[in-house]
Amino acid sequence: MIKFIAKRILQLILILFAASVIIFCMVRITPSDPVASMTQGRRITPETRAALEKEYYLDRSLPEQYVIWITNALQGDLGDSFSHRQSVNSLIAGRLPTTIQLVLMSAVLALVIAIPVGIISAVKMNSITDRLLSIFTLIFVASPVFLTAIILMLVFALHLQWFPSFGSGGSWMENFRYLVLPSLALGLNMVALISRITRSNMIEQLNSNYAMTALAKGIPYWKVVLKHCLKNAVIPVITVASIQIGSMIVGAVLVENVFALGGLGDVLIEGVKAADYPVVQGIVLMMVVVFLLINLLVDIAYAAIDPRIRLE
Amino acid sequence: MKKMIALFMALVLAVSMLAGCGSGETSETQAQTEGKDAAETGAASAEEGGATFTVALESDIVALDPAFAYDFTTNPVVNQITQGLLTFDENNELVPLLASSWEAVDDTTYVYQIRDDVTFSDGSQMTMDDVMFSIERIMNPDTASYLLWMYDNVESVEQTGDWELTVHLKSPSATWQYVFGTTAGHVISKAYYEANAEAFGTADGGLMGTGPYKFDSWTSGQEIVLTKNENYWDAEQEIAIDTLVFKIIPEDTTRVTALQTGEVDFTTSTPSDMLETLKAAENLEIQDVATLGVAFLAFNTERAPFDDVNVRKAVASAIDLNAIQESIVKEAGQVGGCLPNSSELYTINPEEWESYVDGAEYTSYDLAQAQAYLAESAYPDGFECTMVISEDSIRYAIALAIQEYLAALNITVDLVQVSSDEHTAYQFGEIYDPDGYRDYDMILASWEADYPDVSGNIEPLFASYNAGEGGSNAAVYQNEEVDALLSEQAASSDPSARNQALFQAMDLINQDTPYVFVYYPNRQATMNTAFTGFTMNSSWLWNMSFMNVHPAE
Repeated sequence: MIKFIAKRILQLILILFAASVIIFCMVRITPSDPVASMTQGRRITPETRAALEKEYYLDRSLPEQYVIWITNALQGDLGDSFSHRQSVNSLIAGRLPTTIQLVLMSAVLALVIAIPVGIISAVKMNSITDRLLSIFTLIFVASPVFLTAIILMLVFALHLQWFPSFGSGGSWMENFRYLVLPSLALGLNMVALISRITRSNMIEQLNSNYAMTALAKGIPYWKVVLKHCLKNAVIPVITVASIQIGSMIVGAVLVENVFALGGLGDVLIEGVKAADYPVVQGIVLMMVVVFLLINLLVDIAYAAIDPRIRLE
Repeated sequence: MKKMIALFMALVLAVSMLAGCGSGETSETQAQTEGKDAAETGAASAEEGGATFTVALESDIVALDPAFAYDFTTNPVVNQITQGLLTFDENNELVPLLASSWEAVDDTTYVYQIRDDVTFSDGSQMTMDDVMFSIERIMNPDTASYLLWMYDNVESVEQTGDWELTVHLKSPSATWQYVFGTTAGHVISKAYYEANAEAFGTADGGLMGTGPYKFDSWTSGQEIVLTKNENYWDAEQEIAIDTLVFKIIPEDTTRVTALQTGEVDFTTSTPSDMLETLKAAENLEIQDVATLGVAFLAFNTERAPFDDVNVRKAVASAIDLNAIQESIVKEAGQVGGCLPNSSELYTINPEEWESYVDGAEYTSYDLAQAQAYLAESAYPDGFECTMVISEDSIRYAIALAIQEYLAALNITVDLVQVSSDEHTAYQFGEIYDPDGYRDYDMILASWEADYPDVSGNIEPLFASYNAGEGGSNAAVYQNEEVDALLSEQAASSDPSARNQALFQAMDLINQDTPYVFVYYPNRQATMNTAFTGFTMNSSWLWNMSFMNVHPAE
């Protein structure tokens, strides 16, 4: 087992190294000038340009810049943002909690909506209700997150005025109210997939021998559905949902932008637009690390449960 | 194991349902009160001892530091906290602020008398030490201030009396006078800077100045909060707003919604394609503000086919600017003409400029003439060319219109739509083709003068020394006669002579047609009718103030 873990960690380090090189090169592909972006095209003297280039190591060769960046990053320092004049670490630290809260709330909302929808669709398989539910969930998956977000805002913030139209609130409790619409916008996108999986698993369980036996013994139908079948059907749903959280981070970028949440997404989009290399590199690298760590933990967990995986 | 999961799921469901219901209820009641108060926020909170005024910005600020305040989101924040030796009044004229008076002793020597009754927001007196320190900090190349270029022509700055400051220039300059009216002339507290040197200008360190508001907090990507300076040095000034909040809202639709619901009271980032919606809202009032800018189509005069003056004239006379104004630009600007600026920059003897514009000859819309020009050019049968544009919706619509106008001449325009930073890189000569020319045939872009000076747009757009890498001369226009006239007026202190030199230069330029001046952009400021007392003009980058805003009766 230890050997397996060591091997996986070694792989992770190699992947991380390759990813860091790719990230570093990708942000520099567009033909933009970071100094011009910093000063937004307004005029500057050669001295200012030289001082700015020195301050951000832009006067060094690319390999040198990479080494400086990665050495500092390994020590936990992601460098300074060009356009914000503060460290990327403090940018991330200030914005990460909002993004995490948004993704978690969306996941919970998606599950709360999708699982009952899946159960109802399974129980009423091929009925009108089943069809309607599947049409509705498909609409949400087909609608871009951006559009869903704007429609929700116009309806619930502008016309009904039930929720604030932007921002993430001051206190932790207040945040819940502010994040309802953003989480819905993000979560609805996931409902279709999760409810379809719930539905197919539930159908399988409902047709299984133990469910028949339970019914034959006279246990009420709803009790068989909710107590026996749901328990078995829900496990694969959780697995899929946790993988989906990864793709939610991508959607979160758009939702944060629409609702002005001041999360990581905003600063990432802004960084891409402004050729703010340290910001883009730092945030993307952090996301890659998070992804890899989740995968590592899942792999280790699988290996712990199923010894065959260790031996392949 | 399964039981654990089931239990956990049940818990998650229960908690989230409770949270959902709970937050739903509170939000409903809160939103109702908010909705009711939206129109009367100011009045209501004023009774409770001080109003809050909320401003929407479209992006986060660069820093809380005048040395880096050189854009339309950072300056409106910094300008409330620090002030300059001079400022611009509502007619764009220079007036003293932290200085009491100033004079040009000769062409290269300017003497400033500094006020001795000014205090910082902590109550301490502003000294000459603070003034000298602030100026020297921006002049020091290690600071890497975005405004360093303004001091390019300065030989020395010295203290020449208890409250007197003298600036010696390297050569006579018609534009030096404006520098102390910008953030380059803002005074910060030296003691405060030294106590916070590392964190100065960041959310942790903030800054201290003499302005009507002082820094309270900055949450990156979300908001900046300023509070009233109780020690404001001008005792006669009444400040009705206690808390000034700047909210960062990047998405246009969201900003408009927040204005409609009353969650924010003011913005200068009014999306021009949503003006109708805003005008329909009863709680909002829109103020049109002219700018010092111009939106132009620049021809790359260095490279074929636009190195041919007849090609440039053919294109310029094929484009109907009035039609573009009426159907696309609308309230977002005024139709362009023979000058790269609107009347906002007629700052010296305006009547001379008006009569010049009336008589000036330049290439304007005339399709028959366009065909004649093209027939005379090296490409009588038309050609194919590129036009670089940004993602802006108005600019895109204009580009499509131009594409169609030029199709009539059998000129095929390939639109190259790029992100804003790439567009900046094209416009300022950072992107070259293999032959060393700027890599576009035409570019649709804009420029806005730094100072309200007659040469504010003419010099950056036409001087040949601005045609190189990083230069603002997007047409790569090079004309020695024009250069000579531009330097002549830049060194002159005779207003009328300056105007005459500029008129001659514009005559030469208009014969060469390096640019088409498409329109002179306006900006719209939107404010909730619950407040009043706000005015702004085209110098608002430097002089925007919320000092006189107060809740409406």
